[in-house]
Amino acid sequence: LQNGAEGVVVSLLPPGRDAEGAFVSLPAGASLPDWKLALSLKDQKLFDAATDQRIASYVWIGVLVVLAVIVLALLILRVIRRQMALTRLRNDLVANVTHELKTPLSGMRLLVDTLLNSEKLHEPTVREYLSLIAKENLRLSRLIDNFLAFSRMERNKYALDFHTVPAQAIVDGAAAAVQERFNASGCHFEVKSATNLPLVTADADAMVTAVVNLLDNAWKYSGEDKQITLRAASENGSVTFAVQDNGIGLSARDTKRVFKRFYQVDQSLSRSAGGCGLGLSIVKFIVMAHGGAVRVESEPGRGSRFSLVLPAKAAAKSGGREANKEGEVL
Amino acid sequence: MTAKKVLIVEDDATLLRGLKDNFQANGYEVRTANDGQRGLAAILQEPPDLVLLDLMLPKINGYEICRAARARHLHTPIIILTAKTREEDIYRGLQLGADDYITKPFDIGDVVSRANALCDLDKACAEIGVRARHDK
Repeated sequence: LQNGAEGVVVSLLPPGRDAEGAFVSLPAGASLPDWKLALSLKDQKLFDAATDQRIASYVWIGVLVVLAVIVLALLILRVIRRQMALTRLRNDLVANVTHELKTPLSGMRLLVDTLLNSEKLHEPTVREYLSLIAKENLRLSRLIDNFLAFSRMERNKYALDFHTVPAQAIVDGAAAAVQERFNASGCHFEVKSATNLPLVTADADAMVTAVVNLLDNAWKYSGEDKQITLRAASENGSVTFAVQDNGIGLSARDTKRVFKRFYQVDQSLSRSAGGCGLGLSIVKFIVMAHGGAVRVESEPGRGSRFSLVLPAKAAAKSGGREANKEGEVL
Repeated sequence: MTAKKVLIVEDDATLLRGLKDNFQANGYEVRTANDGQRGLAAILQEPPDLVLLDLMLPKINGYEICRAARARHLHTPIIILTAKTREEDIYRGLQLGADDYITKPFDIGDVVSRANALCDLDKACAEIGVRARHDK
């Protein structure tokens, strides 16, 4: 006895007969002892196809789960590595900051103690000590300014106060900030700015900080005979402030990474003038916030030229300067 | 009595000046070096009675100077003067052969006292034919 519907065959089998191809076989009940009810498919291929489909879907799900686990593991690994790198950077920063703050502080304490404890110091020595203390004080102030700027940058709290200012004012401000130090023997410092530099929309103090950081860098990475030039020129609706030095220069690899936070080309060299690898990242932040760009051209052993490009304020010209102190007009 | 000779290896000009003046005022004959290369050369050419050594120096750092001096069996007392205050830095410095480790900012009286004590110990050991320290 068979009844077929939807491709499934239900068979009632008398005692002693086997259901060939049945996927289920059950006793028919108490009223038909030894009889069996069997379910089989009209077309076995349908069953095989459904089975294959199910197996394929299980395999795919399995593969996807394994892939998802691998991707997740890689992501977690990446997050952990980034976190570890960040922790290392933070620890290094704390160590560097501590070190950089302590060095000028140690110098000041040593000289102050010497002044207090020595009964007979000559007047020129006293004046020399006071001048060294003032220099260390200035160095400490610059370090603290940079740390604060970096901290504000990190917390997105670095508020810029934009005004229309002559580009020349930025050049003059930066040159004045380093003049005393750069006038020392062993350093030839020149300022060459074009006539009729335009006005720019800028936070003048922040831009002076950016240019001074470039000048500090030039000082730090130049040897005993320093040749440092600050140039400013106007071209195609923008103003370029460039600092050129004859220092150790940068490799192509260093050039790409030099604006990254905490990056220092030569730890031992930078140590001699202080710094934590924050100066150039602050420069980049300030210039980008002005809608400008930073550029670096360098050759190892021959020196570097760092340029900051700011958009000029349209259709307005500042008074500018007639010519630079060397008489050159760009 | 001949003056004790101290070599100060320090790249910070202000500290170098202050240390030099204070040690001269305390009767030392002072030589100075403002980078690691010059410092090591000065130690090897004419070993002083005492070395005051910064750690973070241009060209060759203070650890390497310590290691190189002890590797050449130089037993000159070395005092490290540094802003590095981590325990691992102190341990490393002393393990490489430094006799004392003073962190910046320091009290100059303390530095001079320790320098005097080390020089006296070294002299006393030399008089009885004992080395104050072992080879590294």
